[in-house]
Amino acid sequence: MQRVRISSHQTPVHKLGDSQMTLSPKFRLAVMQLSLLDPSLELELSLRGEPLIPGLPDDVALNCLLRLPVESHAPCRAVCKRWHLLLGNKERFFTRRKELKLRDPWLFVFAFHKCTGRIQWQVLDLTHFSWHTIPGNALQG
Amino acid sequence: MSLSPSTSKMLSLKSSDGKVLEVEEHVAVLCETIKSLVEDGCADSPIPLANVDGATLGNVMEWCKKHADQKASADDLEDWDAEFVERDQGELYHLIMAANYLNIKGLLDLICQKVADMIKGKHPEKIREIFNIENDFTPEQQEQIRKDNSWAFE
Repeated sequence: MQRVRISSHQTPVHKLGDSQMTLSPKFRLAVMQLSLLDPSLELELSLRGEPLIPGLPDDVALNCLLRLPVESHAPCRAVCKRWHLLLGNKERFFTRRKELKLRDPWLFVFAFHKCTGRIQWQVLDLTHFSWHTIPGNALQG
Repeated sequence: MSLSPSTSKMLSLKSSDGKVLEVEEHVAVLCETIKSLVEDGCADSPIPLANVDGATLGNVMEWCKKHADQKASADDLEDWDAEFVERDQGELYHLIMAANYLNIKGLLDLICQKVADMIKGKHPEKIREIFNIENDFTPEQQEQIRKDNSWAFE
């Protein structure tokens, strides 16, 4: 573990070691957890035979839905319960994307603000060239 | 085994509705399912494809033929693909199922992306209508979602 000093007046901060630096979206978005629906409902709904997209098997429908850009997630969450569960939790979404071996054209940058001394993760979505900020308290674990 | 166009032999494919299609082997082997049959020497003639109807099989082979053409540039293929997916939803579903069954990753990716493009940027109500999805939220849940997402529907 290296220590880097941001400025002489501030307490040292820990710089993440290489083993912890990862460009894959392995963050835990604790603050974004759904309160509306219990995740165990997902299994119940799929067992009951509720399709993700009527007319398509779930694995194919998942292949489609996991390609939705993040800015579409909010309206799509309101479509039905299964979509809400899939798109309401970024961790689940990216884990499933990974399982499908879809590439993530996103660049994760550990950013440091010169004036405020704030440090945070920024994500550049290279498909849409838009920046997103990951809340600091979501990066536990 | 040589699969180059110059030495490619013809394969017969039989659709679920009994139509037989003659396809060059180097084109047909873009379907991993057919490729394994050919490599294992199990390719009966004609090869029965019980899950693909004749019209869809024709479309799938049209895509394979274009993508087996080594002269086609990446830009050319991209334009061609964009035009290829301009079809009604029923045809797209048939193609997606065939690509899944025949294990053609490139075609499956293309159509799944097309379906995602059909979803994105639309209002939930419109999405339900297009994809025939039932709104299974309770009124209370719906109200909660509306509050959480109010910015997204403006």
